[in-house]
Amino acid sequence: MEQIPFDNPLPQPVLDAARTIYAAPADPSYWATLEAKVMARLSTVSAAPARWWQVLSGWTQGGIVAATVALAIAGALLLHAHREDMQTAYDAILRPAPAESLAVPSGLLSDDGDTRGETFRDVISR
Amino acid sequence: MAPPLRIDPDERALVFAAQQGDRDAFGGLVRIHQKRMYAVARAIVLVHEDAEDAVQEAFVRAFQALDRFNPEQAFGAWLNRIVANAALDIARRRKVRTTDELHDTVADRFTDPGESDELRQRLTDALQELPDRMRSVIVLHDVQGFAHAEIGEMLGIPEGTARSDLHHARQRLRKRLENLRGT
Repeated sequence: MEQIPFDNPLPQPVLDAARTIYAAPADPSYWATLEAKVMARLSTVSAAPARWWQVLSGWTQGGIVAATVALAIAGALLLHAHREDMQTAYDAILRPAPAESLAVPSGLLSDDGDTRGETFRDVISR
Repeated sequence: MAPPLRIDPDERALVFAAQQGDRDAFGGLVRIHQKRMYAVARAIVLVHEDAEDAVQEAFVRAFQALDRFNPEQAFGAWLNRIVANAALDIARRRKVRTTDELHDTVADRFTDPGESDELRQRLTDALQELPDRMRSVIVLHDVQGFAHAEIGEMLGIPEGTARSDLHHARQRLRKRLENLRGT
């Protein structure tokens, strides 16, 4: 396949010289030292503070358990309250209305003829 | 050649552990990636010492941004972008140096400072005369073995621009070295 000029590489001696110029250190101790320098620098910096979604995700497990317990307690309380209401309503339906609660106070119904006569006479006399 | 940037399960485990705050796991990631990161940095800055500084700075930045890294992506590619940015920052700061100072430091490479031949000296001079981005592209491609797309991603340029830079850089080097024996 014909090589187009755009992809025509440099002569091999030039590439070899360039690779020599840009060669990375070959000594393994150099890389061990560089790693130690990096880790020493990291010991002076702190990792990025956790973001809100990470904090939330950290709470996920405990949160789910707590929410489940809270829901169960709330459900039990609601059920208990509902049963009490139902019982109260049922009892109210079955319980006969107290007669006195509907009765007119006896004083209002008393047919006190003397009092009414006196009042009538007082009005007429004016 | 640059190693392929596949997602290794062991590396993913290290990344996950490091994200949970395990510094030893992060040390493992440093061991895996530091050579390739040095190669990226060395292609962008002119001297070994700056490349080393860029690698250290990049690891610190990566450590601090680790919570934002998606473990489903290639950790190596993410690091490449970070170290390229760190190296570009250093290169920008080094712009204040004089040409003479740069000439001295370029010649003072890490390995075997006694070695000196005409080709290497002429090539060193020719590379130094290239615009920064062109030099980075040709070194990343022809010396370090990165693909155009990877280079574009690292340097923040379109892949086509990386191809074009490579073409022009090769042309300039050829012209600069045309009278040299053996080229």
